[in-house]
Amino acid sequence: MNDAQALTWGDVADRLRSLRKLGLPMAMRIEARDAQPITIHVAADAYHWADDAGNTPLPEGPLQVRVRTLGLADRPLEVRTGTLGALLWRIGMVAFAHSAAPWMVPGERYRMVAWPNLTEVDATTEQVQLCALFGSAALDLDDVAGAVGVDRQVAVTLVSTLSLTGSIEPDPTAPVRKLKGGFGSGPRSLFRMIRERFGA
Amino acid sequence: MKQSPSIHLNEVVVEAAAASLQQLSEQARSLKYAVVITDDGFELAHWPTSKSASNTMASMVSSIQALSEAVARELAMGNSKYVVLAVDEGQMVQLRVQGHHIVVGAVFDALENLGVALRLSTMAAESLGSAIPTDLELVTGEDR
Amino acid sequence: MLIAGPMGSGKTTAVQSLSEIPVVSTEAHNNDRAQADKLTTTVALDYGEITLSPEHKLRMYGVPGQRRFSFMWKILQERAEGLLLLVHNDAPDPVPTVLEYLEDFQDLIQRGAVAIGVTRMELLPRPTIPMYVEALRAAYPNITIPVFSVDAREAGQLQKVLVALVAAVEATAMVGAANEGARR
Repeated sequence: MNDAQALTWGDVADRLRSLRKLGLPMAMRIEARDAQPITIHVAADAYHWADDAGNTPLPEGPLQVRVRTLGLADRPLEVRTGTLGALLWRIGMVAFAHSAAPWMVPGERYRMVAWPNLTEVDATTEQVQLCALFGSAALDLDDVAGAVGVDRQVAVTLVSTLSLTGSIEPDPTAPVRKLKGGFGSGPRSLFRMIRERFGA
Repeated sequence: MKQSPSIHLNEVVVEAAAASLQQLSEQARSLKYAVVITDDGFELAHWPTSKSASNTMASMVSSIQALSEAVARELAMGNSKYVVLAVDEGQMVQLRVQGHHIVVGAVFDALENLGVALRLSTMAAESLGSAIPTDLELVTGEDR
Repeated sequence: MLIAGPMGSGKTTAVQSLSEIPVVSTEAHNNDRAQADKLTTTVALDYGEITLSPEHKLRMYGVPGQRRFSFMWKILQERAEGLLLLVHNDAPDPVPTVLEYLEDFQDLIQRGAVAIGVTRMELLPRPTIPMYVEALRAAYPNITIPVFSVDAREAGQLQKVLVALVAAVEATAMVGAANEGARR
């Protein structure tokens, strides 16, 4: 994989997805102007970014990316800023804020196979609801967005981000299910009560 | 003071527990089953010895004791003195060996008078408490 | 809601962190210091509450971790809406431990009413969350069980886990209703 210049976060997401699929001990270094570099050790599920306070906004592009294979002489990341999943979430939210990931198939039904680590990522309540539905069955994007009462793009961004982290999969064989709206909004909904209680 | 963190592994205490249950069985023909346990549900001794130890019984006695003491605390009515569970075929009495992390539980048949069951169980707990060497375990208010 | 898990995983702490009332606890002197080096252990339950509305309260029950108290797990799960299973990452073999504990809560799993909280990851980051997820997927291929890292002392984190758990329960019910609708 070649190093490249002047990339967007969408480009970075695409490359990261490919690297993760390879399953090899690879490192990626992302550089941006006026920011410390972000180093990712893909197989170690870790990244280091000196600027990061946990929710520091990602630097703006254009980005430079260098990728290399880690050898036996390479030491593990000395300082782990956080888990790779948490960083991928943030990359996905930026990269796919207004469009779908290029590998998404329109009209597909998706099933979430792993929750994002909600104590590490900044997820909205609507995103939690979307995750809960996609985690229960393979569902259509529009159907889920309607059930939660959010714009379609919100669901697109979430599904694109979860696909970057390998947490959601298409399931074309799943039966078609039609959800009724109003998830978590009924007068007896425990979710509504908890949401209101915690100000979520 | 010597500390004894695992009471149920202390031979002196285990023997004293067995002896107190044997004495209880001789005083009460109505006794069907009895056990001496640690606060956290480990058995020190049971009667009749011909039956195998029941881990479930030890754990349940522990839970019931803790729940009863929690209720007494919440009601702010002092300490739990004993617990009685009356069922169709008899009654179970349990109480703490005062000053120790040990509980005695005894099951009597339906013919036994509750007052007698309580008195004999209390005597068993008191005699066991007296038999535990005073330098074996330090139980402070903070520890409780 | 039940909070279960092995001894030393932070169950009592979690109930204390979440509860609005002083927790009613049933702590006893711990004679099993080999399993967990702490002075006391829960032998019946820890009880805490969160007020949701003037008419509704969420009751939380922390159950004892030792298997000899599993009869309490059975009693308390009969009325449970959900289960938060805590495991501490510095325990020996925490991933198999999670799978072992889950065997006692199959009904809640089927209802989508279980979440896993991994505590003490700041002390020991491995196994990682993806490792837990992989093991759970192998054991329960048709159910997505949430797994989160969590500090049992942090109410904010526990609240996020609670919101997710309840969302999962209602989502499962919603999908079930959709399946029923499709069958008719």
